[in-house]
Amino acid sequence: MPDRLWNLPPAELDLELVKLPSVVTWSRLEPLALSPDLTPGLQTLLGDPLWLLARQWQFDELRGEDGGTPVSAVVEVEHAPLSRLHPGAAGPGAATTAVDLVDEDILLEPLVEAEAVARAARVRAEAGLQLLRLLDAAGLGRLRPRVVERWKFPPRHHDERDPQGSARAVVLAGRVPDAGLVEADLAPLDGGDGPLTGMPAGLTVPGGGAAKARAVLGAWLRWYRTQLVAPPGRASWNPHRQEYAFAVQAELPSGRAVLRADEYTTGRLDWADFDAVDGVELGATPAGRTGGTIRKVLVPMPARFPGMPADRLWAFEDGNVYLGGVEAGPTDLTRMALVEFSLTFGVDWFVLPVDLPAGSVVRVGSLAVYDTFGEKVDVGPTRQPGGWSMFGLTPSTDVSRRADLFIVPPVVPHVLEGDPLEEVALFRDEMANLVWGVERIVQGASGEPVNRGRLATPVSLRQRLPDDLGDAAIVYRLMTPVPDHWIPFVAVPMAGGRPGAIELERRPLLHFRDDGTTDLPIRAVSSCAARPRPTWRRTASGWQRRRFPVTARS
Amino acid sequence: MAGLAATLVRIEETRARPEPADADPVDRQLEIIRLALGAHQPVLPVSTLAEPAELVASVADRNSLLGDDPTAAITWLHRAALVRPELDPLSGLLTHAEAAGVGVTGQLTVAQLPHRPGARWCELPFGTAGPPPAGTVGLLVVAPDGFDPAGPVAGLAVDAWAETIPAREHTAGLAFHYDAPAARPPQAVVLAVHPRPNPERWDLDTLLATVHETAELARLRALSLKEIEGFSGLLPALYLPNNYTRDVPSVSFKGLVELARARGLLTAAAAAGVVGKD
Repeated sequence: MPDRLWNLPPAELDLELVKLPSVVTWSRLEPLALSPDLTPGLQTLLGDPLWLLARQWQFDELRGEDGGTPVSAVVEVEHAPLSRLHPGAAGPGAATTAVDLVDEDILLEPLVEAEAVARAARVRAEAGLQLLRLLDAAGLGRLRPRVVERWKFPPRHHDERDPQGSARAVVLAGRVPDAGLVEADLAPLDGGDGPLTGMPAGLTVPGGGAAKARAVLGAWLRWYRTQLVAPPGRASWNPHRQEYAFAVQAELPSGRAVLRADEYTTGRLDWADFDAVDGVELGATPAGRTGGTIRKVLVPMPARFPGMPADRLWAFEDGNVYLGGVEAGPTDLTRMALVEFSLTFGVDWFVLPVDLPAGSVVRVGSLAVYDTFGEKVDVGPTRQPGGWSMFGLTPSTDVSRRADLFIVPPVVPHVLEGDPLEEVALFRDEMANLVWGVERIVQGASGEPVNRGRLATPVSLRQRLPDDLGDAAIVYRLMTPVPDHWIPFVAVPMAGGRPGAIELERRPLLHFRDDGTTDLPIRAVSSCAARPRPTWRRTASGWQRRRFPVTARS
Repeated sequence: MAGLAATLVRIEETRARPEPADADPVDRQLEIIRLALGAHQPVLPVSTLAEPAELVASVADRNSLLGDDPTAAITWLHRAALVRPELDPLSGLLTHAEAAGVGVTGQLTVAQLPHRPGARWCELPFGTAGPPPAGTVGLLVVAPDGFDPAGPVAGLAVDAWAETIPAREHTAGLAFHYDAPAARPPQAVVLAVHPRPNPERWDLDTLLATVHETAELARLRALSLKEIEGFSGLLPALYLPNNYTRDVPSVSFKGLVELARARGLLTAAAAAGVVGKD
């Protein structure tokens, strides 16, 4: 109706309007700040300036608190280089078996993992060639036939149990000196940093030049001995537990710190492998290896991490990490603790960067924080006696000085590692209630790796017994054949161990051969303590090469 | 002999075969070579370095690269072969050659890019000069007939790897918990206007009152009708008259909504928010 009315010419409209009753209705605009729908709230829509302030007020962003923001921190950190190493589990008498660590560029992993090995034939041949090169370079090439003849590789025939090594031996025999023999011959004449103290008996230099030859041989001997990292005294490897154990000591200004790594298996050392212990001493610190104190004034920065919740309403969060999406079962306590801490307690943490020398033990002596009002707050270690703790080298019940220790282990991030020379896999057989040790790779006579499966004598599917007629229609097999290189281990109570502790004892196994014979290899019984956790485990050894700033070693 | 003759015939056939005009002439040569020497015969392209000057300088600097120890390159190669299976066959080959009396020391050329005169080869112990700068590339070339980077070269790449030299110092983080104030700057700027038309100057009381009022209004902004029960009949006092006889100025919301919808200004989400009587 009104539309028709408004279309009339104004003169007629007025006439029409006066005929109508005049009723004023009122409309009211009712802005709705609340809604049962959660979506607009989650979208955190923007609005007018008052709305922005209101939302900030709702989220406590405008609340004044009685405190200041930390703007400065004075930190005192005492640190000391690792000065003593004890290979193997450290006990009360460890001070006598520990060795000094005096090299500035120590690397812990090679020291701990190095084995005293009989050098492989190829390594001895390559070193023997180096001796020939040095002699040639010194103008003593005429000595070559005598050197080769004196320290020659013994001739070998083709050996299918060591195909690569025996093939190489054919080439080396009579052409290359064996560095192992050379070293054994020269060792009594070792002249330290100078030439040999004399020529080996029976080796003369035609045409003179014995002094020069002694210098060359002495230089070669030093070179040969530094080619590989030698284990410090004794080995850290504990064959009974299939893991490394060692301890290190550092002389901090506030006293000695001894850290033990008793169950190191991963091949990559980190701080978590160490435990700070009391009651073990590794002996006097060598000169020049005592520590110092770093005192620094630093600016604390708020700790930020990926996926961290923003601490205000209108801020973009990192979308790459979504901690809310972490799924955890009822027993995933660590995971739940991580998520809970990150989402709820991640704020109000501050970080100070502290540069620490690699290979040192560190203890934070004191930390004083100053806020914007100049107030000083002394921050102590986060610790709850009897509760639980993280990132510590001691049990949570420990509140002594040791609880504040930290280690920056001298390790390298990248290691060149060759193919394994030896490899044994240990795994559980739940059905047979056994542990099998499977020798996969062993070293041949020349030191070259050989696939153990190739060396195994074939076993027979038929298990013939004495008085066996051999004409049975149905054969009952007592057991499936087990290859030679599968070695059974049986769990037995550990002698002198705590109740329930077991160790694995090596047992012989009856093998049936194709020709009807059997053999029961009786070998020395070896044992290793069982760790209940891993169901599969691989132990391997091989060559490694690591580099460090000043020196490079293999 | 019959096999050889057949091969020769096939080579002749290949040579005589007409090729399409756009064929690469190298392809036919490769085919002939592989007919004669076997299908797996590698054929290397010869290339010339675009800017050989730095490599030439580095190769010429052999003595300082090797620290005056010409055997350093071959001993390094043997040791590296222990951990690099790709390098192992080459190392074995050189061992065999040397056992047979061939002097391989001179056949190994070392180079380093970028070239720094007098610097040690990066694969050898660094010495007092310290580690080389990041990005340094060390090269070892086995060339029995000598290696001239300025001329045309062809060769096989045996192995390559990257080495990481760790820093002597590590930056650790010391974290501490501190209950810092959580107050954040407001998301709005108040542009205050003095209530009097011609004020002489602002005074603190007026300013505070303005700020307080703004804060009050901000809190009121979040209220809805439920919270102001009792006043909800009056507030908010956004009353707009509507009289189709135009006795009073009129606002027709229905007309506004229809107009907005017709012009596409009213999105579905916004339309859902407009409730009430027409």
